[in-house]
Order: sequence, then C-alpha cells, then structure tokens
Amino acid sequence: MLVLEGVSKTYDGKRMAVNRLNLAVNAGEIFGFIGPNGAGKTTTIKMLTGLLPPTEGRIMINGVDLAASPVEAKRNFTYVPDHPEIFTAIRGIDYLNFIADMHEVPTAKRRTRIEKYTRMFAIDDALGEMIHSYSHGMKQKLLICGALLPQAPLFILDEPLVGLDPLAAKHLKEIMVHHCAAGGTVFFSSHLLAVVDQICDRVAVINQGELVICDRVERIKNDFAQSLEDIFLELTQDA
Amino acid sequence: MRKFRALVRLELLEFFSKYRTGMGYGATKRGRGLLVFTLLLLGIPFINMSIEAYQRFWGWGRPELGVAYMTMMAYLLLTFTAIPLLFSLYLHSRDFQFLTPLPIPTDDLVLAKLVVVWLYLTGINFVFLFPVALLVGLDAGLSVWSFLFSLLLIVVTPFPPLFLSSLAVLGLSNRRANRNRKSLLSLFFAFALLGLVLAAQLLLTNEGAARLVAWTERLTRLYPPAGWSAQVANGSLLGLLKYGALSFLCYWGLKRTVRKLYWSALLFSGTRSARRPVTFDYRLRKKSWQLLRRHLLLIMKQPVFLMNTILSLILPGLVFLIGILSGDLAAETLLLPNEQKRLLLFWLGLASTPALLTNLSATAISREGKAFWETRVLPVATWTNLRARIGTTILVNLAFSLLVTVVFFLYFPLEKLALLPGLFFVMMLTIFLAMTDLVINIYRPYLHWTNPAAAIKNNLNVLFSLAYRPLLAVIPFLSAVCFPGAGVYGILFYSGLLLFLLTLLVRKVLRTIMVEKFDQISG
Repeated sequence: MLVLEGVSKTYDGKRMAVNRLNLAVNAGEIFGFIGPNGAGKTTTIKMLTGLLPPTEGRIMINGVDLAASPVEAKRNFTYVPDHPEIFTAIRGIDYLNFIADMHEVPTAKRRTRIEKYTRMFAIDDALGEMIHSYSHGMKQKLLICGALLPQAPLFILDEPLVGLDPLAAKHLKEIMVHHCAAGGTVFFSSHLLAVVDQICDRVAVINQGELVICDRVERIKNDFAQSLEDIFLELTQDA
Repeated sequence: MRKFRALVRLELLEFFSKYRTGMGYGATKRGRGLLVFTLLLLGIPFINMSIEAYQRFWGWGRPELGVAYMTMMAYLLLTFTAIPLLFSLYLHSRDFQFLTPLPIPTDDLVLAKLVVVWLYLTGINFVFLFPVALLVGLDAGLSVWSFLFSLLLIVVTPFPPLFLSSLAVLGLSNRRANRNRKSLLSLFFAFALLGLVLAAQLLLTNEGAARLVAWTERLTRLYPPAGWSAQVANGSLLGLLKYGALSFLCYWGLKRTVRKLYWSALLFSGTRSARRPVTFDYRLRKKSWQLLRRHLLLIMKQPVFLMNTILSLILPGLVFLIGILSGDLAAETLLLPNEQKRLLLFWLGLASTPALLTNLSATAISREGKAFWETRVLPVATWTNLRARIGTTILVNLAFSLLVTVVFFLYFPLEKLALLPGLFFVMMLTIFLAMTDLVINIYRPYLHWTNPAAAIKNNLNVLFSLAYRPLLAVIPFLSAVCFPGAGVYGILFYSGLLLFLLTLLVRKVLRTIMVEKFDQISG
C-alpha cells in the first residue's frame, strides 16, 4: 500500500532530516511510526502527504508514484495532522463538504457518512457553527471526520489522539482496526506507546532521521524481552 | 491601587502591541518609536480640521460655534470609535478567562479596560477638539483658567460618547448573532468613521457660511452640551460645572453598563448557545468552484483582509468623488463634448485601478497562513490550486471595474463605442497582473504569521508587485508608436492584445516552472 524507497530530506543542502528511509506498509496493516521529538517523523509524514518534496527517493501510494501522479496518489489517502490548523471562518459542515467535494464523494454517501462520523464523535450538533468557536478537541474530531469521509484506502495520522476525550479516542482506535480489517491501511505516528503496543501490527522506530528498527510489535518485544517503552528508550538514547 | 495600575499597564501593553504588530513594527524601542510617530502623523489631518473649523467660524464672526461644531463631531467620532473597541475589549476578549480567577476586585478588572478606551479617545480628542478650544480660549484672552478648562474639556468629553457606546454594545450583545459578527461590525464602524470624517471636512469646506452657522446653532439648541463646551473654552465656570455634571453622570452610568458587559462576556465565553436543528446541503460541487469559494471567503471572513481589499478598491473612486464634491475637479467641464478624451482617461484610470492597486494575487498564498497545508494534501492538481487563486483576484477586481464602468457610463456622456476596446484593455490588464503577482508570492510565501496584517501589508511582496506596474506604461506607448494612425480606441485594443500575448507567456511560466516551485513550498 505504501512504499518508501531511499527517501531522504535535506534542509539547506546540509541538515539531513531524513536519511535514506526504506519502508513498506502492507494493505490491512496498522503501522506505528514512532521516534523522539525531532527524529524526522513529521518530515517523513509531510513527504508522504505531498507537503514536502523529498530530496531523493521515491514514494509509492497504492502503486502510484506520488511525484509522478500526485492527484492520483492523493486519491488514495487522507491525512490528519498533529495540529488542527484549518481555515476556521466557515462552518463545520462547510469544511466536511469541501473535503467531500475534493474527493468527489457522491451526495448520498457523503450525507450518510457525515451523519455517522459526526454523531460518533459527538460533533453533529455543532456542524452549523463556525469552526473558530470549536475547542481544540472538536477541531481535531472534525479533521478526523473529514479524513474518514472519503474512505480512502490509506489513513495517515500524525498524533491523532492528542486532544481527544477517552470516548472519541476509543472510537478512533476502533475505526482504525475496522478499516484495516476491511483491507485498508493506517499509518500513524504517536508518542503514546501503550496505544501503539495495543493496536499496531508493525512498528518502525526512527531516530535522527534514520530507521532504527521496523518489525512486528510482538517480535520486537520477544527479541528484546522488554516492554515497548523500554525498547524505545534503549534504541533512541543510544544513538 | 498597585494591582489596578499593573492591570491598566497590562491592558495598555496588549492594546498597543496589537497596533504595533498590525503595522509591522517589532517589539523594540525603534518599533515603539515608529508607532508613536505613525500615530502622530495620523493626528495631523485631525489637527488641521480642528484649526480649519476655528478659522471658518472665526471668519463668520462666531468662533465659539467652532467648538460647538467640533464637539458634536467629536461625540459622533468617539461613539463610532468606542463601539468596536468596547466589543473587542469586553465581549471578545480572552484575557477575562485568566484575569477573573485572580484575587482582583471585579470593578478593577472592568475599569482597567475602560481606562484603555478612555485614554485612546482622549488622545483623539486632543488632536480633534483641543486645537479649536485652545484657539477660541486665546481669542478670549488666554488665561491659566481657560487653558485648564480646555484641558478638562478634552479629558471629560469621552464620557458621554462612551456611555452611549456601552449602551449600544450592551443592546447588541444581547443578540448572539451580532456577537458572531464582530468582523462585520468592525467594518461597518470603520467605514462609518471614514464617512463621518469626510462629511465633517466637506461640510466645513463646501457648506455656505449662513447655512452652517444656522445649522450649528440649531443643533446646539437641541443638544446643549455642545454649547456648554463652547462656554468652557471661553473660560466659563458655569459651563464647566454643567459639562462636568453631565460627564460625571455618564461616567456613573458607564461603570454600571460595562460591569454588565463583563458579566455578559463571562457568561458568553462559558456557554454555547442552544443548538437549533439545521438542515444542510450535501450536494456535490465542482472542485474549482469550491477552491474559488475558499479563497473568496478567506478574504471576506478576515476583517483585516476585507478592509484592506475594500479600501484599495474604493480609494481611487473616493478621491475622484471628493475631487468633484470639493470642486477641485469641475464636473461641468467633464460633461463638455470636447472633453471626451479626458473623460475616457478618467474612466480607464478608475476601471484599471482595482487591477493596479488591489494586488490580491501577491498575497494569495500568504493569506492562507498555517491553513496552507489543507489543499496541498487533497487530490487537486497544482495548476487547479493556482488557478483558483488567480480566479479570485480576477473576480474581485473585474467585478469592481465593471461596477465603476456602469456608474461612470450612467453619469457621464461617454461614447458607448469606448466600451469595447476599453473593457478589453481592462480585462487583459486584470488577468495579466493577477497572474504575474502570483509569481511573486510563489517565490516569497509567508505562512507563519500570527497577525493577519503581516500577511498582506507588511511584506515586500506587495511593494514588489506595485514596483513593476509603472513599467506597464510601455505597452500603450509601444502600441502608439507601432500603430501611429490607430486612434485612441485602436491603441487601447492593441495594448489589450499585447497584454493578452504577455498573459499567455506568464501562463506558460506558471504552468511549468511555478507549479514545480509551488509544490516545494513547505506548509
């Protein structure tokens, strides 16, 4: 579903943010992407979503080269950033309709999905209000609803649980699991190692722009005979 | 008292730092100095108007009416200034959230904000009312008392307008809809202020002496405080007592209304309105339309962007109108049959100014700020994304050019034949500039602003885009040289054609090099 081949990003021709990253995320997988602050997680996600062009390497989404056919590649994923910075002078419903129009979601389907997801995340009664009146958590929920709306095969989520109340976090985790059970893929970054441990099939640890480890969660835990938290600390502190 | 002083200091710092950052000055000594200098510069036209009021009424033998006239104008000016300020400081202020839990009396919280507004209005009064009051006092033989009285007049005059404004804000704040339309209110009062200042100036310069004196006298009878203020300027103790009593009463009422505003603000920030069941429209719309709508809303929903756009659109028309109303530009001569060429130039000038001055494309990317990433991750081709930005500029500018054209052709006897080449030229100019300006913004995007003014005013993009415009004079010049016998309409047509060819060239650059450059912009 998602393939990164030797992807690197250099700022100002000197500072290497991501160094020759190779990853392959399979369909039906929840893939955790973890690393300390400044490790290159957000840069990698920005490259995956087309927000930053890689200095070198290739990104394939559902078999489509992101650089060669960006529109086609972007039809295959939706993205929730770590900060809900969106245009807030419109109503919540306008935002969702905007996303649905961009992904060409037909009228009947969009209505059902908007009603379903906004009810699930308890923002259905705020859809007629301006987004600037929303709390941080509500904005995050709106972004998540927007990302679920097109039902793209790949979800890319950067710290999606930050700002969510426990019930909304539970719903999101369930949706991620259901999405993968139906053949979809989730690529998400998080600092919440307990959640990564709980729901991810595979995990990649990145540190100082380089991939430190990438394997099934259970296998990593067996190999190191430690908790994921301890393994993470060991791998990222040594570097 | 120490706490109150600290609160006032905090409020003043916050209030003026908004102005400072709005003007693009840094938080340095130099930035503060520049802010003071700018405010002083802004005061000059008011001082001039005040002196002019004195000179006019002195010339008509009634200098004291100059004070009455300026007092009435000051009341209106201060009321219109205070309403959006009170709205912003009380109902849309977020600092109540962290100030309220502090061990400070509620009255101190409420009054600290009021001090800020009062100081601001007193500052306006100093340049608007003080010069005329001082000059009238000088006429009556300036004494220490009349000088002190004039000073007192300036200091207490803001209270009645402030009281009226607080009542208006309290009335408006009871309706939630109005609370959500802060930007619309700010815009309305900003234009009301502009209109008021222009009207005051035009009345002074254009109205006949007898009518203006009679008009001021009648209003002074209807509204005695204006007469009392004139007495104060003349050094009358009785006038001062009456004026002082009125101001004290207004201050007393004001304290009560702003306290209510404070409680209303707290209630408002802590609760959400009862939600009405709303039906939504789920129809599928075209991507290009949705993107265009987004960029239009980005301008319309942000007061700073909207104000800047409207002002740059209407300013040339306003200057033309003032020219005609003040008599500097004789409308009769424009109506003469042999003035067609001059008239044509005026029309073309006015119809072209939206394209020339409202350089929306130069900030089309910067305006999105931190929300820039939104459209970048969606399945939209980069060229479609860019086209929506260009389209927004063309739509806004051409709509205004057409409006100017309709008004111009309704009021002036311009040949209908001029419409075709004229509009062709204006249209090509608008499209060409909308595209070229975007190149500047692609090269110099500025997305990490916190104050919207920084996105549109205080970056070099706007200056760059204005800087190359004089070069466009080459186009009609070349047309005239290459086609000497073409006539005015011919030159316009050939200039439009040349612009069309240049537009094709810029479009090519945008679709190739600039698309790639745009994709490199990091959100």
